[in-house]
Amino acid sequence: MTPETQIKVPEDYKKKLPRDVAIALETCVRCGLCTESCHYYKSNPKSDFIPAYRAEVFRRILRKKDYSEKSLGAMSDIAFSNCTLCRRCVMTCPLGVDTGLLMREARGLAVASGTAPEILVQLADTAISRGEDIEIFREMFLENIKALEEEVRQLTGDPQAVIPVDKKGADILFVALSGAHSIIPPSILFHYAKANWTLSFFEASNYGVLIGDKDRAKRIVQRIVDEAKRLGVKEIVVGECGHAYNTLRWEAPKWFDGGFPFRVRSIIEVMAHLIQEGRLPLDKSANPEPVIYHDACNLTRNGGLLEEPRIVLRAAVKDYREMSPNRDDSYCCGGGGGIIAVPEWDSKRMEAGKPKAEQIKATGAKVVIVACDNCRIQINDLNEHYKLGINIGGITETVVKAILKAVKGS
Amino acid sequence: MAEEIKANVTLNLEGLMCPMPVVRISKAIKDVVVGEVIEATATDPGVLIDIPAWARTTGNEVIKIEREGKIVHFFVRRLK
Amino acid sequence: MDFTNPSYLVLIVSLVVGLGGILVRVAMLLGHSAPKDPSPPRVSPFKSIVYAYTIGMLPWKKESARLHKLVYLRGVLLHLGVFTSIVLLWLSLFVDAKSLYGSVAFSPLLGLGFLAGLAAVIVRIADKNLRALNRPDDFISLILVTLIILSAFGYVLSITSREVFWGAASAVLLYLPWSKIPHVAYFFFAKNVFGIYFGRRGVMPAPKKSI
Repeated sequence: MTPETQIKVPEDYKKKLPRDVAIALETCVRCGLCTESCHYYKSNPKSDFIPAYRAEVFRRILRKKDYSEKSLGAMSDIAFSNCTLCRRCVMTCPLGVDTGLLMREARGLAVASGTAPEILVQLADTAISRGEDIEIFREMFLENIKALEEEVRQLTGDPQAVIPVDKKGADILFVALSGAHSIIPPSILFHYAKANWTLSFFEASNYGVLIGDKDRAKRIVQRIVDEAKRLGVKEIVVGECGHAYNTLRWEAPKWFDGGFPFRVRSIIEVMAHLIQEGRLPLDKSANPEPVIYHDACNLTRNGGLLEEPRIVLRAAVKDYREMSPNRDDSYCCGGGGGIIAVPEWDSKRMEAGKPKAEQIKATGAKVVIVACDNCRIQINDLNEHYKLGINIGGITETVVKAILKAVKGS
Repeated sequence: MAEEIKANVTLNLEGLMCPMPVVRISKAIKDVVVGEVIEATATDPGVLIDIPAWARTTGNEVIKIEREGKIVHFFVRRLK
Repeated sequence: MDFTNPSYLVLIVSLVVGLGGILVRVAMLLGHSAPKDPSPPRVSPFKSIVYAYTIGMLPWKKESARLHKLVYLRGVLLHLGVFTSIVLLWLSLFVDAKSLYGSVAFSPLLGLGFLAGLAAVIVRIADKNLRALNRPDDFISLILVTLIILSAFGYVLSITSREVFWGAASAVLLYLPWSKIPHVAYFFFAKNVFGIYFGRRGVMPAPKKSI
């Protein structure tokens, strides 16, 4: 293919866009008031980093039907590496134009035209493959969980502690990420909360969503939905993953006729509820250092978990502080939208993370609590790059420390 | 036995969280020629499933993958 | 109403083209599918839409307005000037402003609106970020609406004739279907989507702070 090669895009592509996308395409008046809302622009004030500029690149392609390899490649680069889909610009737009939505649509067009980053598509397909051939992976998964269960028993000192898998009649289907850090602390939490739960065979993350490919995204979610229905659970609880929560709680129900027959909550909501009901023994002295919470865009601005993490942390740590701005006004850490999985963009994401690094530094906190793995990887890297001298922890892990201190004194 | 497999490239993926082990392997596989083998160690237990699933997706071969305590040790051969 | 007046006839035709154009564009927008959202909302969409149109639009609620007070003020004045011109245009169809008691009272809003429009044109040329965003339509639309405000200003002060005002209005109306000006209609759709998106999620209006 040469840069001039025309890529076949359906003639009615624009007509078939959903109405909210069409509205975002038509409404912008290019006033530029979104400029400073973007963490990319804040760290490097180039016109290319203005949210409206990014959207204009997509609009121009659709307006002129310019589907050349070169133009779609440039659009793909912008949609994937100059925007983390954080939607801070949407909050500040006088008209409420959803540029994040447009960038997600641009990503989808990039995938359809073969100009999207290969690794992101591979990660989505890897998750789908896992769902298609469960039996191939089952034994390895169970062996893995047995090893983690042993760790849970050691940490709780309870030889009866379990990580239930495939448990019919459980109330909760807990969907974690694949790492031990995402499975062990929640297992301990559920153990002490005496929850009737079971661990999902599938991981929560959904690269189909991040690449704006609804078909792949739905197939990834379908695995979890089928599992939840098969086990007859009352709710799905999503582990510490921003885009997975946003997807399962808010986006995916639209892809299934009539939505879900179960509730979807984040583990943060579960903990806040348990704390408010006084059902968790907590000793704050387990977390004595100054702690701040990073509002992951997909949990806060796009997920609505503004107060729950604060309710949890205030109960579990001694010295809780806030970054400024915070909550729905918080800056993206620069690691969202899948950019962490593309090594070619590492220096770009370090630059885009500068506002977050400065926010963290200004608080003087020693511990940053992050409830999203994308953000966690990014803030770890920011810590090294900007020499922040902080420790990074998960919110469930922090609560579990306080539980173990209260229960076991250690 | 691990020592019977001759690796052309060795990667240390210990300490990396998902999806970074898959990302690193995906990048490294492009730097070896078809038939060559990458040996890697990781601490994220998720790779036990993610690496075989990635290999199925991309048409490569996991020659061996096993847990050795908290370390997952595996070999991947480039087939395409 | 004077059907023997050519500028009146041109204005009527322009009104049909302009308003018809907006209707067609809105109809095209409504032709796009809008899937139902069955996710259980945290805040009722009605409450959040009301918020989006009221408190959510206050300058201190938007970072952009806090950072760019002058730009915000300029935008408000320009739009007030445009809306005043529209009101005046409507009145002028039935009665000449010269005989309209108090029409000169419109002049401060129109004068300030014109200055705001003029400033907006200058800033669009001078500001490097806006230069990167500009489409030709941004200039054409802005200049045309600034001219309609100017002609309305001249008209209420009896400096220029009603025909000049109608001429400027006709130019805007004829260009309207191909311009960004229908954002006046899209605005409501965008605000609804905005209100529903952040409202359902419980982000807006924000819950009571726990700390």
